[in-house]
Amino acid sequence: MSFLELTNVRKLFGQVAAVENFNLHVERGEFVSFLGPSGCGKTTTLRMIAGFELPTDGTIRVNNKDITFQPPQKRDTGMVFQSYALFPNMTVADNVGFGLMIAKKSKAEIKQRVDEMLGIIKMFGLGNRYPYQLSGGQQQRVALARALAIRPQVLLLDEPLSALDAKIRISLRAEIRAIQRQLGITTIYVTHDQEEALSLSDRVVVMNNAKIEQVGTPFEIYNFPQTEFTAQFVGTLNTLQAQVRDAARGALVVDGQEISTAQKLDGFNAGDAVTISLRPERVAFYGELQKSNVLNVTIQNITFLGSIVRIQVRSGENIFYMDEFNNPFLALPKIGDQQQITFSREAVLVLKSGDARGKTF
Amino acid sequence: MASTTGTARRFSWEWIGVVPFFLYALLFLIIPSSFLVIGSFQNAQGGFTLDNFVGLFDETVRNSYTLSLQISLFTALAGGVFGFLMAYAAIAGGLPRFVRSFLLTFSGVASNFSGVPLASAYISTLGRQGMATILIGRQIRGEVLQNPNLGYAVAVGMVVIMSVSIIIYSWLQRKTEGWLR
Amino acid sequence: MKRFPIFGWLIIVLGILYFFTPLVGTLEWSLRIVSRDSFSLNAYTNVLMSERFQRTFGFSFIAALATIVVSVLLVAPTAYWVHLKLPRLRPWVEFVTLLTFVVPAIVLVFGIVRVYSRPPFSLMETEWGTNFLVIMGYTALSLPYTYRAVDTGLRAIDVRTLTEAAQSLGAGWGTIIFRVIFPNLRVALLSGAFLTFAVVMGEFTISNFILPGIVSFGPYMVNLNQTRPYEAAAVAIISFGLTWTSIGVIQLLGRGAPGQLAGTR
Repeated sequence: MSFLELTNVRKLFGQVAAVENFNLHVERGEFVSFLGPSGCGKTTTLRMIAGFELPTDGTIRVNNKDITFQPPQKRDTGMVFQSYALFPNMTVADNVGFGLMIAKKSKAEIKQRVDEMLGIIKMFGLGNRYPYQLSGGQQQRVALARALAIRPQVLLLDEPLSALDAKIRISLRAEIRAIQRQLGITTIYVTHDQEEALSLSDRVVVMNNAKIEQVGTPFEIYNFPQTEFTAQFVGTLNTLQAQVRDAARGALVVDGQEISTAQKLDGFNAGDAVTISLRPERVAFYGELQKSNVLNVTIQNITFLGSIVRIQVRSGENIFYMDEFNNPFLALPKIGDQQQITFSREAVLVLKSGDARGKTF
Repeated sequence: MASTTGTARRFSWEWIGVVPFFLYALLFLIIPSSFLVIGSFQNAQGGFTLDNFVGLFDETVRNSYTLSLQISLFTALAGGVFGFLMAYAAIAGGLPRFVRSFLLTFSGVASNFSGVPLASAYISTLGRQGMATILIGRQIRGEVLQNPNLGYAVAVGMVVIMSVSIIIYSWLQRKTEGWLR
Repeated sequence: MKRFPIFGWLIIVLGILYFFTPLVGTLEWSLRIVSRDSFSLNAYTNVLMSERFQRTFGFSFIAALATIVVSVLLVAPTAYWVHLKLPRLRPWVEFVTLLTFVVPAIVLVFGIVRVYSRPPFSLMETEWGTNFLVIMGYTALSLPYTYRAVDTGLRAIDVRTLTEAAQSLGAGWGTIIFRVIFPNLRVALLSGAFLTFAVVMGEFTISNFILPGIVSFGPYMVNLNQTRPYEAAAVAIISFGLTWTSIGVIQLLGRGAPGQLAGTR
């Protein structure tokens, strides 16, 4: 039995499905991200766990207790909002102590816990400030402390870093993960930023169009996307149109040139049109060692991105990218050059077009 | 494992929150006002009639309406033009900041300094308060024509005029909100 | 070098003249009670010492406070609730608050007298009943002001998220309204309250029709106008001073309060 379980959860707004067939088991202390574009249902799912929305169907259990229809006050969840939502009329200390005050803890206990929390978020001594006297990053840390002060069973974060600028976003990201590890609190983190999801989470739930596309560790999600959507949404991805030539030996044809995949092509027949994915960093210029998976391409564009150089190439109808690590001795081709590129059989993934409906992850 | 799954939506009690407000509105705004509307369609014996509305075109009544409307129209125009000029001068006219904040405070004061105190301050220049109000008051007490139902009709006429202006106002406001967006 | 803003100043000076001439005139008039050639504060002392002034002023003052309480308790939770849960009712609430502008006070008071002077609600017979009706009438007059103020205040804060934040921390509705929402609306509530105060203090029609004789401040002032012109002028100046102070207080609060927020900015 997992700590947090969502079973067949479904949410309709009028006739429109916001979340469908949502099944997920989260273990105690696990950090799980919901990743997807806006409107994919990730926030609605989070709000159903918090109790701000009631599911149309399905059950939500925390610690083996059914909370599906519990009011938010009784759920014992801590929530952090994108807009911080600190109470403007209260000091930092009063904000952090608010939940404890509601729980009728003694003054001494509240003070002790507030101080402890301010220590955790490295804002000790700022308890007398008002929210408007704090920077965005500080406000969000206070909001985190406020949510954690009541020692909730589950911590819910709804795009907590989206309103902050890039530098603070990255430092606060690390801080959130460190605090979460320190306290060992089960955490659900909603974001549309794949980098955030991949760098923070134990597992990532990729969502699209009200449904789960894929659930897996960041490593799995990035390296073995199971659906075209996941592959497209997570990381930069090339998709190429290909036909199956021989399913048994994994042979495919791209623009008249044969390549092969390490993947099993069970259920495909020769001549089937498929979409394959190829990460830019796994593509290289042709060297002597590689004898298979060589494509003739035309260089279309070269973009300098700092640590990497991104090169756009074209093979027939397929336009895609390859990344080269930057170094001072890199011999770059010119736009319009004919080149040969290569990639390993393992790098070629054939994408399913179906969804992952009805599975529990 | 017990299942709470059910498609039935729970009955929502959210509307309870607005009951006190609408109850108040019903008891002290809507029922009292509707009394008047009903009365305006009744004759002295309580039967249905449209005579009261015909009576609106009586000279006394017509004159007091006209006077009230003229005063309102003049006030609105003068206030609008003058207010616009002052606001424009304060914002675009290159005046120091303190003038602007003073004007803001003062227009707040002026708009709240209404009713009797304002009337007595302006009493020598602008004359008595709205003629229609006084006439309605007298009519309702049966002081002028011994016919309170005509008074109701006069009041209903005023409500109609007010409604039309509020509707136009709301419409204009929505329109400008649209422009500003 | 910037050109001297002649046009701007001209308009402002004209405006000041227009608004302040009657005031200065009134002030001057109120000071000439003893003779045409010398100033005296006798009109003010006469008024302030008079038992009728104290009684009517006191009545209206208390009535104003009661109206503020009723109006705020009626409007603020409703506006909050509509904002949060029933946005489709918003036009209806707005319509009701605007009814006061549509239905003239005289019509309203007449209807109230008719409805409540017969069973089942014979409230016109007792002093308690008439006082109650007057407060209800005043509340009707204050609705548009209170509602507008509260609505502006609610738009300025993220009501939904603040509510949800408080909920997830375990707060019930009472705590949310009185500890989270109201404190953040305090400037809006105060400006609504002061507007209501000013409206009630100067109100004539409702109290004149419901209450027997001269009980409230409005009818007292009208009566004074007809009988004692110097004292009437003094009362007008006093009212003006009160209103000015109220507005000043609202603006001061709006500026100073931390994390502000509400409508008067």
